[in-house]
Amino acid sequence: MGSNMYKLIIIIAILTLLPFILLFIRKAVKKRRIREQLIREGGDYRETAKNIAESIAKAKALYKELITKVHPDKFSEENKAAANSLASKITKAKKDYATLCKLEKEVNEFITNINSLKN
Amino acid sequence: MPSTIFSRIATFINRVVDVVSQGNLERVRILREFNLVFKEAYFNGELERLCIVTTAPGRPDFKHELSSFYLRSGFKITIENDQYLTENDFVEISKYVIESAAFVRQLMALGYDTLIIKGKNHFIGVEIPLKAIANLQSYMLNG
Repeated sequence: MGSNMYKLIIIIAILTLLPFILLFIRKAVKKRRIREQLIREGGDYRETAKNIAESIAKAKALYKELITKVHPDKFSEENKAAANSLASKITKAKKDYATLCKLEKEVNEFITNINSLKN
Repeated sequence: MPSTIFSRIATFINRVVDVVSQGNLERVRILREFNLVFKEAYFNGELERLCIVTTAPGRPDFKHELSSFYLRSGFKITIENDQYLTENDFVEISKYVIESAAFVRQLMALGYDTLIIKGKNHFIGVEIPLKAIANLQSYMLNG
């Protein structure tokens, strides 16, 4: 009788704790999935580190160069809107060297197009 | 020589603690890659200052849903040759690090909640809560 009561108490304790244990496991699995997703989305560590180092070293100079090239005051009315849009993209990416390099190509294409239209 | 051996032992112990606390090698990888890149950039002359990245104690009030224990929640960048650096310089450097929200979320996923950028020889620097830069709410709700 005593041991049966003891077993009953243990079974009730386990059944009471079980939902909390299952909830804890579910939360842990969810967090792990989120961690893996965020680590994947963040990209390669080496590339990120390289971009940060290059941004610290070169982003300011490249930003100044590009923003001077596409300053809206340098263009006629018909090209001002496009120049403005490029300028705001460049300003947004002021501290991101990789994005500034991609924008450099866009800027050069934009200027080449304008020059070829003039000619 | 003894200080090099000591720092190597400390680095090894830190790595073991990171692996055991996280259950994977991601922290070891990120620290290794960052240290290699910063070292290369410094010795190539790209960067004027040598930066060393380590795990350090974070701030308990910067805790978020994926934070590790606060003694291991700081992502610390120590600038070895920190002469003539002002607090503004540290703030400027931090802006380059937190530029990418995806990278900040990646740090948060690795259990970091505090970005610390400090000079080795002087006591000035910055401590930034990563949760102020990137939000995990949408991931926690949809995950």
